[in-house]
Amino acid sequence: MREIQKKIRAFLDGKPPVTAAMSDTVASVINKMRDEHVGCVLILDSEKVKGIFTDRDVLKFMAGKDAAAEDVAISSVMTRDPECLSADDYITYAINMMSVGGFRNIPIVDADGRPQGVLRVRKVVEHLSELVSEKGLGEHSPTDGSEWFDVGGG
Amino acid sequence: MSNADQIFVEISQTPVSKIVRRKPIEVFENTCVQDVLDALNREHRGVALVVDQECRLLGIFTERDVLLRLPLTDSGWREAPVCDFMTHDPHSIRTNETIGLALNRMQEGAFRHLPIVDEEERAIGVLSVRDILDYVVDHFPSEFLNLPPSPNLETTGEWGG
Repeated sequence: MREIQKKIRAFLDGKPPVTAAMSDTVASVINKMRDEHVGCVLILDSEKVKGIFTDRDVLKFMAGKDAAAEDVAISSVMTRDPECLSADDYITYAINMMSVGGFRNIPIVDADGRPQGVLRVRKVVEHLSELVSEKGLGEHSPTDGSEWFDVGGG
Repeated sequence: MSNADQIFVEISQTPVSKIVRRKPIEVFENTCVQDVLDALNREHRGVALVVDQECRLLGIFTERDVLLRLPLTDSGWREAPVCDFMTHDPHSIRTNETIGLALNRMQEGAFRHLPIVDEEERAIGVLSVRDILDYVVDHFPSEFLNLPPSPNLETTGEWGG
């Protein structure tokens, strides 16, 4: 199905992903997520993706009562070595990965492991919704072009 | 119409009630936030439906609310009622409405979850983006499964990351 098989590159908006350093505190990363309106942050070491921290990780952290967010390094609570893809991989591969792995955010990296963006499940929903609308299969409401508040969805 | 188009028509017109696999986590308005977080953590879920005694939907509380609404520097929220931090009167979808409509609502509202309700606004379940992705992947095996193998992929049982 040619229409569904686009390259991930077509879904990246060109904006640099939100990143943090391994030694940053959980508090600073959460504040960054709030300020930047994102649901995930890539954690870098020597400019390469070493971890990911998402709103699910925020939930896990906040549920715990042991440590204060300003006292914990993000490297100790992030998901290490997340599954990454290249911008030349297909969106179908990413959808399969999201389904099997339970991911909502996939880091997109170059050949050296440097981040180029994040493929968010919101973009996948947009793609599938557009396919449905093109075929006249869904109830299509005109959008007003307003910016989303992107934290990866509700 | 191509075979792939026919599959897409079928997916789009499937009622949402057919594809939801997991029972929702339901809590009352006065359940304290700590208890809600503990339940979400224990069940590896990111959403709780807030209901009244008749199971009518009052609100939704998700990891987005945890990120955006719980103060980092003050732990008073732990014992506060979840209704102080939930989204009141959330968008929802009826049991017989379709995946196509659900996708449209999720896309327009930037939602990852849609509560499913009956005609009397009683919460029946919750539709997540993952339910839709799983269903799409199941229906397009040659497009999704005939892919380069990835030895690192394994089912984690958790939805996040």
